[in-house]
Amino acid sequence: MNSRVSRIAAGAVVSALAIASLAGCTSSEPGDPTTGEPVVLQYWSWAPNIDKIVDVWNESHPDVQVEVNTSVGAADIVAKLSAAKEAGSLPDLSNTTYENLPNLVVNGIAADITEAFGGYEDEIAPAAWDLTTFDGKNYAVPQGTGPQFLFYRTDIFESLGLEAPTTWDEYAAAARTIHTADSSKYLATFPANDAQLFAALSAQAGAQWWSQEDGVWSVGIADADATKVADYWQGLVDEGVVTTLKTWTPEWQAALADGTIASWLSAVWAPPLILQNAPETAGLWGAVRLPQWQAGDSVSAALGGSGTVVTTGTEHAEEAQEFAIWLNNSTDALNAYIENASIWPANLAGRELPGIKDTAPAALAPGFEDFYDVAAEIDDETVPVTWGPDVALAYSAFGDAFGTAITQKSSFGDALTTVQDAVVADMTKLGFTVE
Amino acid sequence: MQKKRSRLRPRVAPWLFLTPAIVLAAGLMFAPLVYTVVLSLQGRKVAASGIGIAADVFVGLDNYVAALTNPALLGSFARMLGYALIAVPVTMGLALVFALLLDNLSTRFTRFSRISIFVPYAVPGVIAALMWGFMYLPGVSPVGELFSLWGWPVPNPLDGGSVFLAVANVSIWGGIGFNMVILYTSLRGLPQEIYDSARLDGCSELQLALRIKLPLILPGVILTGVFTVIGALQVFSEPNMMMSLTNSITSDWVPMMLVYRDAFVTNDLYGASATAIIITAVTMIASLGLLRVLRDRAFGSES
Repeated sequence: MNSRVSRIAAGAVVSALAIASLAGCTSSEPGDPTTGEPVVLQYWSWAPNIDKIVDVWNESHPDVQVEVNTSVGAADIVAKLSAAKEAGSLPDLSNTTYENLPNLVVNGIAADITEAFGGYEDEIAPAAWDLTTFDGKNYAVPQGTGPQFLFYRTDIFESLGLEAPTTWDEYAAAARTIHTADSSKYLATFPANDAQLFAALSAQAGAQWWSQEDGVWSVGIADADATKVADYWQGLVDEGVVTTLKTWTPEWQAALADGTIASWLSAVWAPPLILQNAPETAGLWGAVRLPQWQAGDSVSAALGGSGTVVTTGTEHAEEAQEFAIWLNNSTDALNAYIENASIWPANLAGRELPGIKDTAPAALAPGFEDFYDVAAEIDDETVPVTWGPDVALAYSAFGDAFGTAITQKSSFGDALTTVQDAVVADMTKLGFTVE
Repeated sequence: MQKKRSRLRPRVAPWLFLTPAIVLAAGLMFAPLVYTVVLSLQGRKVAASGIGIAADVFVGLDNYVAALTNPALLGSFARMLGYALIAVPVTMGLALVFALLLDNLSTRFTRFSRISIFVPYAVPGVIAALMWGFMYLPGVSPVGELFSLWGWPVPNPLDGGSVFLAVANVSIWGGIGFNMVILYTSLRGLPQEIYDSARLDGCSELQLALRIKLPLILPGVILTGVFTVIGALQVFSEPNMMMSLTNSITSDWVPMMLVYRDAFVTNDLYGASATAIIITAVTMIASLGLLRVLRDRAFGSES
């Protein structure tokens, strides 16, 4: 029994090794130019239908074949790649969210690709370029950006005589109107598991969760601007006019589908997800800019967005870089994306491709043709954000602190302080200079 | 010649038989354990300023100190204890009751009941948690629909203190069958003559169960009890699955979730290794201690 106990208790580490070695089984075999054996690249991605886009590459590049592994999700990409690095079996390329990229750089997983990609600056949306460049070096090829939208049910708003809110005051008023009209209905949910959303909302309010100057980090997770956002939502939650369902749960999907929730603060990538979760609401949605803190302002935030990293573990850095750049910048790849998946490319020329305007999101109201024009405008209004090296820890701490604050009806502002303290402690432990 | 062979055989043969087990044990248990200890003595440090690249460094017992002084670990053990106080007695009690009842019923009925009680054990923990999660969530629960049909407020078992019951219920549901089968098998192994003589002495069926059957299958009860306790100490998949459904379960709700989060969510493999070693030690001490106490009580004369 002694051995049984130790086996199971050490399970976390064992499974890390198992995952890493499974990934290692199919690690790239070196190509041999003399025999004509193709180079095989391993690519980790969670993007829907990514295999169809990779197929386009494989057909036109018989000497460099790419194999996609789609089993790794956006949330656990850092941990999976770290385990793979520990085991010496990194894939050649991987998707990453912009938030997690600094962590991959710090862990020595994302390779410096400045030599191959440094000249592309003019072709890439500035926000995405900044998010993938550190100390003047490129560490990822940007794929898409995530300009934020407020999606709302036009039918519910019209039936109550509501207009789409343009300020947060109007948003709160709409929440009260909807809940007063029917006590089982809400304008929105405040999800404790969506730290990404809260980070975006506090960035819009002016908070800088991380910033860096001359090598010294500042953490502003609990600063005045972020606390203002926390207090605002606490007010709505305490009043009971927004609910606290966690997003992506079956209950949330049901609430989105049956109109229990009349809006969703999300981003440019949301329409296909709305359609998938709530197909019968297709055509009933509208999309507008985020409500503003000051009437007349136009400040936006980005939610999500991802890029492709070449890892330090690859034996075919040149081919991998070539593929990463092709995947996110070539007309062939972007057209394949538009055809098979929803994307708002970081490549500026990609945004002008004729196909993209035709994919007027079916989940939105018919005739909502300027969706991507608005997306481009929002991109320009988006506040720049610096992500710290331990975003995954911050998001996990956020989920715990806000989940607890909601169940115990305690202060959201204190919850933010808890998150801030955890992040500062972790960064100090890692050896960063934090002021 | 013949003499030599017969002398060699007893020396080599046992080792030959043992080798596969030793190799498996070394590879699957001791190697990971040693590797975990090695990991737990390391950490990551960024040398350069700014973004920098972290390197592995030896940190000695720092990770252990950090884990032991982390109030979250103590909190997770406390919640695990709360969960265990519900899950262990109910699982064991119901398994015993079902085993004793089945032992008393007619054969055809027994087979059907035994299978239907055992079937949940075949459902993987994560699937079971997902399934029960659906039934708990007020928004999608079929039970909730009945409640609202009658105009009653829909309960949310995952909210507040009842979350312990909700999580325990899943593992109880899955665990009863396994324990029941072991106990039932022990019961079937008992000689019928004992029952006959007891009945001749005027023993009722209830007395028979409590005074004759139960003491005779005590070793089986202890075995399944210890397994159930160890299972409770290592509870993971049910609360981890339900964490995504409710605000009441945090990522450090029970010790194994804390380890999982540190290793696979927030990317601190080294701290997670230290915590895992601590949990291993606690589990071993608890189960060996429990076994000793039970053995002394149950077979005081034997040991």
